[in-house]
Amino acid sequence: MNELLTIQNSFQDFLIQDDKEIYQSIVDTGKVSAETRLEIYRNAYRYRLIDALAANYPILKIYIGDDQFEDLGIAYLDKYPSNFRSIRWFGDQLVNFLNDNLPYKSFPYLSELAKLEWAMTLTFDAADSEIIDIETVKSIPPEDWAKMRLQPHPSTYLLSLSWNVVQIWQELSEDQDPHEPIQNDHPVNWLLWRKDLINQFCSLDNEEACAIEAMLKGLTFNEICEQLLQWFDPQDAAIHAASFLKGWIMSGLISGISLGTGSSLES
Amino acid sequence: MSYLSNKLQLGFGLGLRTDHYETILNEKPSIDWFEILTENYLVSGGKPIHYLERIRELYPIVMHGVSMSIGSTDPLDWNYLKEIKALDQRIEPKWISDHLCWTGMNGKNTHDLLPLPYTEDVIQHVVNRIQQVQDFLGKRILIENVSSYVTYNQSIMSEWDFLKEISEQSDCLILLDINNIYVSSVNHEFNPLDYLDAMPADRVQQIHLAGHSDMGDYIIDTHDNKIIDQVWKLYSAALHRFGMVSTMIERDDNIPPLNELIVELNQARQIAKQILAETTV
Ligand SMILES: [Fe+2]
Repeated sequence: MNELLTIQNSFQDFLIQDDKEIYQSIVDTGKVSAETRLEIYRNAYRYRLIDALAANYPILKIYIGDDQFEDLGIAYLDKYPSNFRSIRWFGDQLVNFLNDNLPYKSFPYLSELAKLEWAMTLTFDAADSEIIDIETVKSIPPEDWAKMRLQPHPSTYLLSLSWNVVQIWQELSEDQDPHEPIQNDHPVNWLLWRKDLINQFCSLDNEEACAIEAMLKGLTFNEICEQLLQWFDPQDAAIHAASFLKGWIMSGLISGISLGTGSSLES
Repeated sequence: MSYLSNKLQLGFGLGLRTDHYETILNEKPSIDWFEILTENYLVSGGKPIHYLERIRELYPIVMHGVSMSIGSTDPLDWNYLKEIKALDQRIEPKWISDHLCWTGMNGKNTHDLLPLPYTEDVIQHVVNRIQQVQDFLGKRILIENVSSYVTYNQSIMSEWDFLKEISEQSDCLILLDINNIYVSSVNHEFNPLDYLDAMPADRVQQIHLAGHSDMGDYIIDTHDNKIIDQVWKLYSAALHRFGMVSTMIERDDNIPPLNELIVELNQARQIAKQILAETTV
Protein backbone atom coordinates (compact mmCIF):
# COMPACT_ATOMS: atom_id res chain seq x y z
CA MET A 1 0.00 0.00 0.00
CA ASN A 2 3.04 2.26 -0.14
CA GLU A 3 2.09 3.52 -3.57
CA LEU A 4 -1.46 4.37 -2.50
CA LEU A 5 -0.18 6.02 0.66
CA THR A 6 2.20 8.20 -1.34
CA ILE A 7 -0.51 9.21 -3.79
CA GLN A 8 -3.03 10.03 -1.08
CA ASN A 9 -0.48 11.95 0.92
CA SER A 10 0.57 14.13 -1.96
CA PHE A 11 -3.02 14.58 -3.21
CA GLN A 12 -4.15 15.74 0.22
CA ASP A 13 -1.12 18.03 0.59
CA PHE A 14 -2.06 19.52 -2.75
CA LEU A 15 -5.65 20.17 -1.63
CA ILE A 16 -4.72 21.54 1.76
CA GLN A 17 -1.48 23.40 1.08
CA ASP A 18 -1.10 23.53 -2.71
CA ASP A 19 1.87 21.16 -2.68
CA LYS A 20 2.71 20.27 -6.31
CA GLU A 21 4.15 16.79 -5.90
CA ILE A 22 0.91 15.09 -6.99
CA TYR A 23 1.33 16.49 -10.52
CA GLN A 24 3.74 13.71 -11.45
CA SER A 25 1.03 11.11 -10.75
CA ILE A 26 -1.61 12.70 -12.97
CA VAL A 27 -2.04 11.95 -16.67
CA ASP A 28 -1.84 15.10 -18.77
CA THR A 29 -4.19 14.69 -21.74
CA GLY A 30 -4.09 16.85 -24.83
CA LYS A 31 -7.57 18.17 -24.15
CA VAL A 32 -7.27 19.12 -20.48
CA SER A 33 -3.99 19.65 -18.62
CA ALA A 34 -3.16 17.97 -15.32
CA GLU A 35 -3.12 21.41 -13.76
CA THR A 36 -6.68 22.22 -14.85
CA ARG A 37 -7.84 18.80 -13.72
CA LEU A 38 -6.28 19.17 -10.28
CA GLU A 39 -7.59 22.70 -9.87
CA ILE A 40 -11.14 21.32 -10.18
CA TYR A 41 -10.47 19.36 -7.00
CA ARG A 42 -8.81 22.21 -5.19
CA ASN A 43 -11.68 24.58 -5.98
CA ALA A 44 -14.30 22.00 -5.03
CA TYR A 45 -12.49 21.35 -1.75
CA ARG A 46 -12.33 25.02 -0.82
CA TYR A 47 -15.82 25.96 -1.86
CA ARG A 48 -17.45 22.96 -0.26
CA LEU A 49 -15.86 23.85 3.07
CA ILE A 50 -16.52 27.57 2.73
CA ASP A 51 -20.17 26.70 2.03
CA ALA A 52 -20.21 24.52 5.11
CA LEU A 53 -18.79 27.40 7.14
CA ALA A 54 -21.48 29.69 5.73
CA ALA A 55 -24.16 27.18 6.72
CA ASN A 56 -22.98 27.45 10.34
CA TYR A 57 -22.40 31.23 10.26
CA PRO A 58 -25.01 32.60 7.82
CA ILE A 59 -25.42 35.99 9.52
CA LEU A 60 -21.68 36.56 9.91
CA LYS A 61 -21.45 36.00 6.17
CA ILE A 62 -24.13 38.60 5.47
CA TYR A 63 -22.51 40.98 7.95
CA ILE A 64 -19.01 40.95 6.47
CA GLY A 65 -20.11 40.28 2.88
CA ASP A 66 -19.42 37.43 0.45
CA ASP A 67 -15.88 38.44 -0.51
CA GLN A 68 -14.68 38.99 3.04
CA PHE A 69 -16.33 35.76 4.10
CA GLU A 70 -14.56 33.87 1.35
CA ASP A 71 -11.20 35.29 2.48
CA LEU A 72 -12.06 34.34 6.04
CA GLY A 73 -13.06 30.83 4.95
CA ILE A 74 -9.82 30.27 3.05
CA ALA A 75 -7.70 31.56 5.94
CA TYR A 76 -9.62 29.47 8.45
CA LEU A 77 -9.40 26.35 6.29
CA ASP A 78 -5.62 26.79 5.99
CA LYS A 79 -5.32 26.83 9.75
CA TYR A 80 -8.02 24.32 10.72
CA PRO A 81 -8.56 21.72 7.98
CA SER A 82 -11.48 19.43 8.81
CA ASN A 83 -10.93 16.29 10.80
CA PHE A 84 -14.64 15.61 11.13
CA ARG A 85 -16.60 12.81 9.52
CA SER A 86 -19.60 15.08 9.25
CA ILE A 87 -19.05 18.46 7.61
CA ARG A 88 -21.65 19.89 10.00
CA TRP A 89 -18.92 20.38 12.63
CA PHE A 90 -16.59 22.35 10.38
CA GLY A 91 -16.07 25.78 11.91
CA ASP A 92 -15.92 24.74 15.55
CA GLN A 93 -12.74 26.84 16.02
CA LEU A 94 -13.94 29.94 14.21
CA VAL A 95 -14.50 31.96 17.40
CA ASN A 96 -10.90 31.30 18.47
CA PHE A 97 -9.65 32.01 14.98
CA LEU A 98 -11.40 35.39 14.90
CA ASN A 99 -10.06 36.23 18.36
CA ASP A 100 -6.48 35.31 17.53
CA ASN A 101 -5.89 36.57 14.01
CA LEU A 102 -5.63 39.88 12.22
CA PRO A 103 -7.52 41.61 10.83
CA TYR A 104 -10.43 39.96 12.62
CA LYS A 105 -9.23 40.43 16.16
CA SER A 106 -9.35 44.20 15.68
CA PHE A 107 -13.14 43.83 15.43
CA PRO A 108 -14.00 41.83 18.56
CA TYR A 109 -17.75 41.85 17.82
CA LEU A 110 -17.08 39.46 14.90
CA SER A 111 -15.99 36.68 17.22
CA GLU A 112 -18.98 37.39 19.46
CA LEU A 113 -21.36 37.15 16.52
CA ALA A 114 -19.67 33.87 15.60
CA LYS A 115 -20.00 32.67 19.20
CA LEU A 116 -23.73 33.38 19.07
CA GLU A 117 -24.20 31.57 15.77
CA TRP A 118 -22.17 28.53 16.80
CA ALA A 119 -24.23 28.21 20.00
CA MET A 120 -27.35 28.40 17.82
CA THR A 121 -26.16 25.42 15.76
CA LEU A 122 -25.52 23.47 18.97
CA THR A 123 -28.99 24.31 20.23
CA PHE A 124 -30.51 23.35 16.87
CA ASP A 125 -29.37 19.72 16.84
CA ALA A 126 -28.79 18.98 20.52
CA ALA A 127 -30.33 15.78 21.86
CA ASP A 128 -34.10 15.58 22.23
CA SER A 129 -35.61 15.27 25.66
CA GLU A 130 -38.97 15.36 27.39
CA ILE A 131 -39.87 18.49 29.28
CA ILE A 132 -41.69 18.50 32.60
CA ASP A 133 -44.75 20.55 33.47
CA ILE A 134 -45.53 22.46 36.63
CA GLU A 135 -47.48 19.51 38.11
CA THR A 136 -44.28 17.49 38.32
CA VAL A 137 -42.65 19.99 40.61
CA LYS A 138 -45.86 20.43 42.66
CA SER A 139 -45.77 16.73 43.42
CA ILE A 140 -42.44 17.06 45.22
CA PRO A 141 -42.88 17.38 49.01
CA PRO A 142 -41.54 20.72 50.38
CA GLU A 143 -38.96 18.93 52.55
CA ASP A 144 -37.36 17.45 49.41
CA TRP A 145 -36.96 20.73 47.55
CA ALA A 146 -33.53 21.48 48.95
CA LYS A 147 -32.02 18.35 47.39
CA MET A 148 -33.70 18.64 43.96
CA ARG A 149 -31.34 18.57 41.00
CA LEU A 150 -32.82 20.09 37.86
CA GLN A 151 -31.98 18.54 34.52
CA PRO A 152 -31.83 21.27 31.89
CA HIS A 153 -32.98 20.45 28.37
CA PRO A 154 -29.84 19.35 26.42
CA SER A 155 -30.24 22.31 24.06
CA THR A 156 -29.64 24.88 26.83
CA TYR A 157 -26.67 27.22 26.42
CA LEU A 158 -25.73 30.32 28.40
CA LEU A 159 -23.65 33.02 26.71
CA SER A 160 -22.16 36.22 27.99
CA LEU A 161 -21.86 38.84 25.24
CA SER A 162 -20.19 42.23 25.51
CA TRP A 163 -21.41 43.61 22.18
CA ASN A 164 -24.88 44.16 20.77
CA VAL A 165 -24.47 41.19 18.45
CA VAL A 166 -27.89 39.72 19.21
CA GLN A 167 -29.46 42.94 17.96
CA ILE A 168 -27.25 42.85 14.84
CA TRP A 169 -28.14 39.19 14.34
CA GLN A 170 -31.86 39.93 14.57
CA GLU A 171 -31.72 42.88 12.22
CA LEU A 172 -29.75 41.01 9.59
CA SER A 173 -31.95 37.93 9.80
CA GLU A 174 -34.92 40.22 9.09
CA ASP A 175 -33.15 41.84 6.13
CA GLN A 176 -32.79 45.15 7.95
CA ASP A 177 -29.76 47.41 8.14
CA PRO A 178 -27.81 46.49 11.24
CA HIS A 179 -27.02 48.94 14.05
CA GLU A 180 -23.43 50.02 14.56
CA PRO A 181 -21.59 47.63 16.86
CA ILE A 182 -21.73 48.93 20.43
CA GLN A 183 -19.91 47.55 23.42
CA ASN A 184 -22.11 47.37 26.51
CA ASP A 185 -20.91 48.73 29.85
CA HIS A 186 -21.33 45.23 31.28
CA PRO A 187 -21.58 41.91 29.47
CA VAL A 188 -25.15 40.72 28.90
CA ASN A 189 -26.26 37.15 29.63
CA TRP A 190 -28.13 35.34 26.89
CA LEU A 191 -29.92 32.06 27.22
CA LEU A 192 -30.43 29.79 24.20
CA TRP A 193 -32.61 26.71 24.10
CA ARG A 194 -34.90 24.82 21.75
CA LYS A 195 -38.64 24.45 22.21
CA ASP A 196 -40.89 22.57 19.77
CA LEU A 197 -37.91 22.28 17.36
CA ILE A 198 -37.49 26.07 17.24
CA ASN A 199 -34.48 27.88 18.69
CA GLN A 200 -35.36 30.38 21.41
CA PHE A 201 -33.26 33.04 23.12
CA CYS A 202 -33.69 35.69 25.76
CA SER A 203 -31.52 37.96 27.88
CA LEU A 204 -31.23 37.32 31.62
CA ASP A 205 -30.37 39.48 34.60
CA ASN A 206 -27.28 38.45 36.54
CA GLU A 207 -29.28 36.76 39.31
CA GLU A 208 -31.14 34.43 36.97
CA ALA A 209 -28.04 33.76 34.86
CA CYS A 210 -26.18 32.79 38.01
CA ALA A 211 -29.01 30.39 38.96
CA ILE A 212 -29.01 28.84 35.46
CA GLU A 213 -25.27 28.44 35.54
CA ALA A 214 -25.61 26.65 38.90
CA MET A 215 -28.28 24.37 37.40
CA LEU A 216 -26.11 23.62 34.37
CA LYS A 217 -23.30 22.62 36.75
CA GLY A 218 -25.67 20.11 38.35
CA LEU A 219 -25.98 21.83 41.74
CA THR A 220 -28.97 21.16 44.01
CA PHE A 221 -31.81 23.60 44.49
CA ASN A 222 -30.39 24.45 47.90
CA GLU A 223 -27.01 25.21 46.35
CA ILE A 224 -28.69 27.37 43.71
CA CYS A 225 -30.32 29.35 46.55
CA GLU A 226 -26.91 29.73 48.19
CA GLN A 227 -25.53 31.23 44.99
CA LEU A 228 -28.27 33.85 45.14
CA LEU A 229 -27.26 34.98 48.63
CA GLN A 230 -24.90 37.48 47.03
CA TRP A 231 -28.01 39.48 46.11
CA PHE A 232 -30.76 38.37 48.53
CA ASP A 233 -31.35 37.37 52.14
CA PRO A 234 -31.98 33.62 52.59
CA GLN A 235 -35.77 33.77 52.46
CA ASP A 236 -35.85 35.99 49.37
CA ALA A 237 -33.21 33.81 47.70
CA ALA A 238 -35.51 30.79 48.01
CA ILE A 239 -38.50 32.74 46.73
CA HIS A 240 -36.50 33.98 43.74
CA ALA A 241 -35.11 30.53 42.98
CA ALA A 242 -38.63 29.07 43.09
CA SER A 243 -39.92 31.74 40.77
CA PHE A 244 -37.01 31.19 38.37
CA LEU A 245 -37.79 27.48 38.40
CA LYS A 246 -41.43 28.12 37.57
CA GLY A 247 -40.40 30.33 34.64
CA TRP A 248 -37.92 27.74 33.35
CA ILE A 249 -40.54 25.02 33.43
CA MET A 250 -43.02 27.24 31.58
CA SER A 251 -40.35 27.96 28.95
CA GLY A 252 -39.66 24.28 28.37
CA LEU A 253 -36.16 24.38 29.81
CA ILE A 254 -36.43 21.58 32.36
CA SER A 255 -36.26 17.94 31.29
CA GLY A 256 -36.44 16.33 34.70
CA ILE A 257 -35.84 16.60 38.41
CA SER A 258 -33.89 14.10 40.45
CA LEU A 259 -33.87 13.81 44.21
CA GLY A 260 -30.45 12.83 45.47
CA THR A 261 -29.21 9.57 44.03
CA GLY A 262 -31.51 7.19 42.26
CA SER A 263 -34.98 8.65 42.26
CA SER A 264 -35.83 10.84 39.33
CA LEU A 265 -39.01 12.48 38.18
CA GLU A 266 -39.67 13.01 34.54
CA SER A 267 -42.89 13.85 32.83
CA MET B 1 -29.57 -10.21 -18.22
CA SER B 2 -31.26 -10.41 -14.89
CA TYR B 3 -34.87 -9.52 -15.49
CA LEU B 4 -35.84 -12.34 -13.21
CA SER B 5 -33.45 -11.41 -10.46
CA ASN B 6 -35.14 -10.89 -7.12
CA LYS B 7 -33.33 -7.74 -6.15
CA LEU B 8 -35.32 -5.41 -3.94
CA GLN B 9 -37.26 -2.92 -6.08
CA LEU B 10 -38.12 0.38 -4.45
CA GLY B 11 -39.24 2.17 -7.61
CA PHE B 12 -38.49 5.86 -8.11
CA GLY B 13 -37.13 8.00 -5.31
CA LEU B 14 -35.66 11.37 -4.44
CA GLY B 15 -33.07 12.66 -2.03
CA LEU B 16 -34.65 13.84 1.20
CA ARG B 17 -33.88 17.56 1.53
CA THR B 18 -34.66 19.95 4.39
CA ASP B 19 -36.57 22.31 2.09
CA HIS B 20 -39.10 19.60 1.33
CA TYR B 21 -39.80 18.15 4.81
CA GLU B 22 -43.09 19.99 5.32
CA THR B 23 -44.37 19.45 1.78
CA ILE B 24 -43.71 15.73 2.06
CA LEU B 25 -45.61 15.41 5.31
CA ASN B 26 -48.48 17.63 4.22
CA GLU B 27 -48.94 16.44 0.66
CA LYS B 28 -47.60 12.88 0.82
CA PRO B 29 -46.45 13.15 -2.82
CA SER B 30 -46.23 10.10 -5.04
CA ILE B 31 -42.55 9.44 -4.61
CA ASP B 32 -41.75 5.80 -3.92
CA TRP B 33 -38.87 6.26 -1.49
CA PHE B 34 -36.28 8.67 -0.16
CA GLU B 35 -32.52 8.58 0.13
CA ILE B 36 -31.02 10.43 3.09
CA LEU B 37 -27.52 11.83 3.33
CA THR B 38 -26.37 9.76 6.29
CA GLU B 39 -24.07 12.36 7.85
CA ASN B 40 -26.92 14.89 8.14
CA TYR B 41 -28.62 12.59 10.61
CA LEU B 42 -25.62 11.70 12.76
CA VAL B 43 -26.73 14.39 15.21
CA SER B 44 -28.24 14.02 18.65
CA GLY B 45 -31.70 15.44 17.96
CA GLY B 46 -33.72 18.38 16.76
CA LYS B 47 -35.38 18.98 13.40
CA PRO B 48 -33.52 16.54 11.10
CA ILE B 49 -34.18 13.52 13.30
CA HIS B 50 -37.73 14.64 14.06
CA TYR B 51 -38.68 14.85 10.39
CA LEU B 52 -36.85 11.69 9.44
CA GLU B 53 -38.74 9.74 12.10
CA ARG B 54 -42.04 10.94 10.66
CA ILE B 55 -41.16 10.56 6.99
CA ARG B 56 -39.85 7.02 7.48
CA GLU B 57 -43.32 6.03 8.68
CA LEU B 58 -44.64 6.99 5.24
CA TYR B 59 -41.83 6.06 2.85
CA PRO B 60 -39.02 3.51 2.57
CA ILE B 61 -35.65 5.11 3.31
CA VAL B 62 -32.10 4.29 2.19
CA MET B 63 -28.94 5.67 3.78
CA HIS B 64 -26.29 7.25 1.55
CA GLY B 65 -23.01 8.25 3.17
CA VAL B 66 -20.05 10.36 2.02
CA SER B 67 -17.48 9.76 4.77
CA MET B 68 -16.71 6.05 4.94
CA SER B 69 -13.53 6.74 2.96
CA ILE B 70 -13.39 3.09 1.99
CA GLY B 71 -10.27 3.57 -0.13
CA SER B 72 -8.23 5.54 2.40
CA THR B 73 -4.93 4.29 3.80
CA ASP B 74 -6.09 5.43 7.25
CA PRO B 75 -7.60 2.70 9.43
CA LEU B 76 -11.38 2.35 9.18
CA ASP B 77 -13.10 4.81 11.51
CA TRP B 78 -14.94 2.51 13.90
CA ASN B 79 -16.58 5.35 15.77
CA TYR B 80 -18.13 6.50 12.54
CA LEU B 81 -19.17 2.96 11.66
CA LYS B 82 -20.77 2.56 15.10
CA GLU B 83 -22.79 5.71 14.46
CA ILE B 84 -23.85 4.31 11.08
CA LYS B 85 -24.90 1.09 12.72
CA ALA B 86 -26.88 2.92 15.39
CA LEU B 87 -28.70 4.98 12.75
CA ASP B 88 -29.27 1.81 10.74
CA GLN B 89 -30.97 0.21 13.74
CA ARG B 90 -32.96 3.33 14.52
CA ILE B 91 -34.41 4.05 11.08
CA GLU B 92 -34.17 0.62 9.43
CA PRO B 93 -33.19 1.72 5.91
CA LYS B 94 -33.62 -0.65 3.00
CA TRP B 95 -29.90 -0.42 2.43
CA ILE B 96 -26.73 1.58 3.10
CA SER B 97 -24.42 2.99 0.46
CA ASP B 98 -21.20 4.99 0.19
CA HIS B 99 -18.67 5.75 -2.54
CA LEU B 100 -15.75 3.98 -4.19
CA CYS B 101 -13.24 6.65 -3.26
CA TRP B 102 -11.20 8.08 -0.41
CA THR B 103 -11.98 11.36 1.34
CA GLY B 104 -8.91 12.00 3.46
CA MET B 105 -5.95 10.58 5.36
CA ASN B 106 -3.85 11.28 8.46
CA GLY B 107 -7.06 11.96 10.36
CA LYS B 108 -8.13 14.76 8.05
CA ASN B 109 -11.24 14.87 5.91
CA THR B 110 -11.31 16.83 2.66
CA HIS B 111 -15.06 16.09 2.32
CA ASP B 112 -14.44 15.38 -1.35
CA LEU B 113 -14.93 12.05 -3.14
CA LEU B 114 -11.39 11.52 -4.40
CA PRO B 115 -10.53 8.91 -7.01
CA LEU B 116 -8.33 5.88 -6.41
CA PRO B 117 -5.60 4.50 -8.68
CA TYR B 118 -6.92 1.39 -10.42
CA THR B 119 -4.42 -1.30 -9.45
CA GLU B 120 -4.51 -4.87 -8.11
CA ASP B 121 -3.12 -3.75 -4.76
CA VAL B 122 -5.82 -1.14 -4.34
CA ILE B 123 -8.49 -3.70 -5.25
CA GLN B 124 -7.25 -5.96 -2.45
CA HIS B 125 -7.11 -3.04 -0.03
CA VAL B 126 -10.67 -1.91 -0.78
CA VAL B 127 -12.11 -5.44 -0.89
CA ASN B 128 -10.67 -6.15 2.53
CA ARG B 129 -12.17 -2.98 3.97
CA ILE B 130 -15.60 -3.48 2.41
CA GLN B 131 -15.65 -6.97 3.90
CA GLN B 132 -14.83 -5.59 7.35
CA VAL B 133 -17.61 -3.02 7.05
CA GLN B 134 -20.12 -5.60 5.84
CA ASP B 135 -19.20 -7.97 8.65
CA PHE B 136 -19.60 -5.19 11.18
CA LEU B 137 -22.93 -3.96 9.82
CA GLY B 138 -24.18 -7.47 9.25
CA LYS B 139 -25.30 -6.70 5.71
CA ARG B 140 -24.04 -6.02 2.22
CA ILE B 141 -23.45 -2.40 1.35
CA LEU B 142 -23.75 -0.59 -1.98
CA ILE B 143 -20.69 1.10 -3.43
CA GLU B 144 -21.14 3.99 -5.85
CA ASN B 145 -18.93 5.02 -8.76
CA VAL B 146 -17.80 8.65 -8.39
CA SER B 147 -17.21 11.19 -11.10
CA SER B 148 -13.55 11.98 -11.59
CA TYR B 149 -11.37 14.56 -13.26
CA VAL B 150 -7.94 12.95 -13.09
CA THR B 151 -6.36 9.68 -14.15
CA TYR B 152 -3.36 8.44 -12.20
CA ASN B 153 -0.25 7.32 -14.06
CA GLN B 154 -0.22 4.30 -11.75
CA SER B 155 -3.62 2.97 -12.96
CA ILE B 156 -3.38 -0.23 -14.98
CA MET B 157 -7.04 -0.93 -15.71
CA SER B 158 -10.33 0.79 -16.51
CA GLU B 159 -12.60 2.15 -13.82
CA TRP B 160 -15.30 -0.35 -14.77
CA ASP B 161 -12.99 -3.33 -14.37
CA PHE B 162 -11.88 -1.93 -11.05
CA LEU B 163 -15.46 -1.52 -9.78
CA LYS B 164 -16.52 -4.92 -11.13
CA GLU B 165 -13.60 -6.73 -9.49
CA ILE B 166 -14.17 -5.02 -6.16
CA SER B 167 -17.89 -5.72 -6.09
CA GLU B 168 -17.39 -9.38 -6.98
CA GLN B 169 -14.50 -10.05 -4.66
CA SER B 170 -16.08 -8.29 -1.68
CA ASP B 171 -19.59 -9.47 -2.56
CA CYS B 172 -20.97 -5.95 -2.25
CA LEU B 173 -23.73 -4.37 -4.31
CA ILE B 174 -23.43 -1.46 -6.72
CA LEU B 175 -25.03 1.94 -6.74
CA LEU B 176 -24.52 2.95 -10.33
CA ASP B 177 -24.47 6.69 -10.86
CA ILE B 178 -25.36 7.18 -14.52
CA ASN B 179 -24.49 10.86 -14.47
CA ASN B 180 -21.07 10.09 -12.96
CA ILE B 181 -20.40 7.58 -15.74
CA TYR B 182 -21.35 10.21 -18.28
CA VAL B 183 -19.25 12.93 -16.61
CA SER B 184 -16.22 10.65 -16.40
CA SER B 185 -16.69 9.41 -19.96
CA VAL B 186 -16.39 13.00 -21.21
CA ASN B 187 -13.53 13.88 -18.86
CA HIS B 188 -11.57 10.72 -19.68
CA GLU B 189 -12.81 10.17 -23.22
CA PHE B 190 -14.20 6.65 -22.96
CA ASN B 191 -17.40 5.09 -24.27
CA PRO B 192 -19.94 5.02 -21.44
CA LEU B 193 -21.59 1.92 -22.93
CA ASP B 194 -18.38 -0.01 -22.27
CA TYR B 195 -18.86 0.86 -18.62
CA LEU B 196 -22.45 -0.41 -18.59
CA ASP B 197 -21.50 -3.58 -20.46
CA ALA B 198 -18.90 -4.48 -17.86
CA MET B 199 -21.22 -4.17 -14.87
CA PRO B 200 -22.32 -7.36 -13.11
CA ALA B 201 -26.06 -6.83 -13.64
CA ASP B 202 -27.20 -8.75 -10.58
CA ARG B 203 -25.25 -6.47 -8.30
CA VAL B 204 -26.68 -3.19 -9.59
CA GLN B 205 -29.16 -2.45 -6.82
CA GLN B 206 -29.68 1.28 -7.26
CA ILE B 207 -29.22 3.97 -9.87
CA HIS B 208 -28.45 7.66 -9.35
CA LEU B 209 -29.42 10.30 -11.89
CA ALA B 210 -28.36 13.94 -11.64
CA GLY B 211 -27.54 17.10 -13.50
CA HIS B 212 -24.11 18.66 -13.89
CA SER B 213 -22.22 21.70 -15.18
CA ASP B 214 -20.74 21.60 -18.68
CA MET B 215 -17.49 23.60 -18.79
CA GLY B 216 -16.77 22.96 -22.49
CA ASP B 217 -13.68 20.76 -22.42
CA TYR B 218 -14.77 19.01 -19.26
CA ILE B 219 -17.83 18.49 -17.05
CA ILE B 220 -18.22 19.05 -13.33
CA ASP B 221 -20.61 16.94 -11.31
CA THR B 222 -22.55 19.65 -9.46
CA HIS B 223 -26.02 18.14 -8.86
CA ASP B 224 -27.51 21.59 -9.32
CA ASN B 225 -29.27 21.20 -12.63
CA LYS B 226 -31.71 19.23 -14.73
CA ILE B 227 -30.69 15.87 -16.13
CA ILE B 228 -29.47 16.24 -19.72
CA ASP B 229 -30.59 14.15 -22.71
CA GLN B 230 -27.38 12.15 -22.99
CA VAL B 231 -27.77 11.02 -19.38
CA TRP B 232 -31.38 10.00 -20.03
CA LYS B 233 -30.17 8.00 -23.04
CA LEU B 234 -27.54 6.32 -20.93
CA TYR B 235 -30.20 5.54 -18.33
CA SER B 236 -32.27 3.81 -21.03
CA ALA B 237 -29.23 1.83 -22.07
CA ALA B 238 -28.66 0.83 -18.46
CA LEU B 239 -32.23 -0.41 -18.01
CA HIS B 240 -31.93 -2.39 -21.26
CA ARG B 241 -28.99 -4.20 -19.71
CA PHE B 242 -30.05 -4.50 -16.07
CA GLY B 243 -33.86 -4.55 -16.19
CA MET B 244 -35.65 -2.44 -13.60
CA VAL B 245 -33.40 -0.95 -10.93
CA SER B 246 -34.48 1.31 -8.03
CA THR B 247 -33.78 4.81 -9.33
CA MET B 248 -33.39 8.16 -7.65
CA ILE B 249 -32.58 11.72 -8.65
CA GLU B 250 -29.93 13.61 -6.72
CA ARG B 251 -30.33 17.35 -6.38
CA ASP B 252 -28.04 18.94 -3.82
CA ASP B 253 -27.88 22.54 -4.91
CA ASN B 254 -30.20 25.05 -6.54
CA ILE B 255 -33.00 22.88 -5.12
CA PRO B 256 -36.37 23.53 -6.83
CA PRO B 257 -39.85 22.94 -5.40
CA LEU B 258 -40.64 19.26 -4.97
CA ASN B 259 -43.10 19.30 -7.88
CA GLU B 260 -40.35 20.09 -10.36
CA LEU B 261 -38.34 17.13 -9.18
CA ILE B 262 -41.41 14.91 -9.39
CA VAL B 263 -41.83 15.91 -13.05
CA GLU B 264 -38.24 14.84 -13.64
CA LEU B 265 -38.81 11.64 -11.71
CA ASN B 266 -41.84 10.89 -13.86
CA GLN B 267 -39.61 11.15 -16.89
CA ALA B 268 -37.54 8.31 -15.41
CA ARG B 269 -40.74 6.35 -14.78
CA GLN B 270 -41.78 6.82 -18.41
CA ILE B 271 -38.45 5.62 -19.74
CA ALA B 272 -38.49 2.57 -17.49
CA LYS B 273 -42.08 1.72 -18.39
CA GLN B 274 -41.31 1.88 -22.08
CA ILE B 275 -38.17 -0.21 -21.86
CA LEU B 276 -39.70 -2.86 -19.65
CA ALA B 277 -42.66 -3.09 -22.03
CA GLU B 278 -40.29 -3.55 -24.98
CA THR B 279 -38.19 -6.18 -23.27
CA THR B 280 -41.10 -8.28 -22.04
CA VAL B 281 -42.77 -8.50 -25.49
FE1 LIG C 1 -24.41 9.80 -6.96
